[in-house]
Amino acid sequence: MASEEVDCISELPDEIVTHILSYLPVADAFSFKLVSRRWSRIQVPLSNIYFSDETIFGKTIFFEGCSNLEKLKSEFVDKVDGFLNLFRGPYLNTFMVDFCLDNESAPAIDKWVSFAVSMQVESIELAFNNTNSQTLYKFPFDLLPEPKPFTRLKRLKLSACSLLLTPESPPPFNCLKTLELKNLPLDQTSLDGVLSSCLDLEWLTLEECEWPRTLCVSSAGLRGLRVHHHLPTSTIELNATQLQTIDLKGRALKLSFLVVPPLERVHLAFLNPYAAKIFFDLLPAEVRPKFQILSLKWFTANSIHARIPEFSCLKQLDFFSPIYREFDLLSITNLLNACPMLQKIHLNMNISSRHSESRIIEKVEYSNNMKYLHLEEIEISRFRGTSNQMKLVIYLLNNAVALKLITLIYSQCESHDYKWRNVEHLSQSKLLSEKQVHELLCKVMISHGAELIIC
Amino acid sequence: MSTEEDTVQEKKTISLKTSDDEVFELEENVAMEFGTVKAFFGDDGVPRDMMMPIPNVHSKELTRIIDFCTKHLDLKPKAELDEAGKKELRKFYKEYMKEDTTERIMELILAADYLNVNDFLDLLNQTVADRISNKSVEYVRKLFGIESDYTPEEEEALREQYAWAFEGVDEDPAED
Repeated sequence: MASEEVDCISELPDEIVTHILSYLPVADAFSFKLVSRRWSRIQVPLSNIYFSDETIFGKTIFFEGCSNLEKLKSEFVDKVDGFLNLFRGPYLNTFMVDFCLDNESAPAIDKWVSFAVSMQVESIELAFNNTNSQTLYKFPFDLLPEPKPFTRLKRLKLSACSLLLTPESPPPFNCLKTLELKNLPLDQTSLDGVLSSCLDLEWLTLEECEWPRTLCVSSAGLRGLRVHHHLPTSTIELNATQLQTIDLKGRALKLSFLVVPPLERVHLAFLNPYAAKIFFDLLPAEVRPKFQILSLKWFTANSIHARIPEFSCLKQLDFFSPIYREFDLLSITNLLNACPMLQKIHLNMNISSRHSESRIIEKVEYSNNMKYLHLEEIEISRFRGTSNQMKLVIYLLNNAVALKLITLIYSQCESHDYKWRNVEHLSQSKLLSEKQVHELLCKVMISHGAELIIC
Repeated sequence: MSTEEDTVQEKKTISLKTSDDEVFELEENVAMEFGTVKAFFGDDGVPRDMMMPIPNVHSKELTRIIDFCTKHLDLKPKAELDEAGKKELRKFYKEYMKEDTTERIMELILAADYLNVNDFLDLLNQTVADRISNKSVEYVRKLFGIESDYTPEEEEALREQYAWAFEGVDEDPAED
């Protein structure tokens, strides 16, 4: 081997090396990053494709009541076909179609999915805006690439489609890590078929999906589950030994566990006051103690009762609540009292009522003597300096003996309901300015070791 | 025998002077395959009998590029007509670069890039890509005489990060 071989490829300009690399299969484009530092700096172009009313027609189309919808649909399909015929790769990163399409366009859509797969796409999303459950596009799972030799496809999201599965022909294995289903009619057979074909599945989302009464979700590697729905009285049976994260939003959902998962992160946003109760009641005794992070969106005026079961491992609590007039802020302490190991709290109080003072309808009992031995960090967003908020802050300061940092955030958050809000409104209520809050709290904090930030 | 054409086509040629001071006379249609030449002469303006200097290109490379363009110009219209034509063009692409060393291909790439000969450039790049496709990183380094400037730890970390990309790589061909 001649040691004086000219590094001829280093004489080539970057654009040419990029061009050469773009002819290579995806795997090479990444493995060759190891050839030298220069090669790894060369970016091989990856594309993200997004077909929607905006990108195809240049304007937003309202599908409901659209008079020439059929014509638009066929034009959309033709344009996407045309674009993909001309597409010269080299490969795609993500592929998304967001339009009102149904099973009539199935041959074309199947082709697009195959094309995306051949382009080594990482994520496919079909967001069809179709309210007619009879005509939903049937997604053919056998189009998904098999694990061998190699595939990049990790994520699939289907909206308003249906799963094309029969018990006689289960789909072949695929490599999906994330599966998101929205507005999809589900039944046990199809879900079983899909889940058993996704060997690597880690995250499953079911959003506004319908299923008869009880649905069993059985997946050996599942780490996270998100269920957002508004149907009354539905049950999910969970059979997932690795489940760490749960995200539930909506009406009462009965969750039952066939095996006890190591649930650590729980996000709950209940629109119904009883939903929280049902959830916690149904939780097996072994599950609750494992929670490490709990995020609770409390959309109810009911204050938090004292009899909350203990969360012995909980380290972080995120509590979001629109402040109703009847809601007793200090009842949050009941929740805090149930978490002896709590280290961090984030409270986000979205003031939706006109008055900052809340009339406390329910007199809720709370213990004043609990010391929070591990609480180190408190953050309160949308702080207004109302007397109830101040009461809570002072209580926390007095009882959190290990507190290191407390942050009170005044600045407007990204909430929608503030857009219309007349700022004068707020100034009429009894609010304290940042300066006043600072003065008040400094007195309390003189002997405290903690740091106070007001911003 | 066919009758004489009424109008005799004048054979238009374009002159190019290479880096080693050789002057080539090409048929205009072949020369116009070179994007740089086409841009130089434009639709009007620069007279066609003017000699265009191409100081970045050696006569050795230019000869080959002219050879490719001539053959390519002949085959392309036939490929539009029928399947047989398409087949011939594909065969041409497959065989044309078979005998060349990778180093030679690099030299041709630089020349074709300068002259903006897109069809030939595509073929050259594809040929290089085919030769390194699915090969190991070491093979690629050896082929181009590149020395790795990574530390062993950095390389290890990268290998782990892109583990999926190393599955199923070809065995390096035996050294001779």
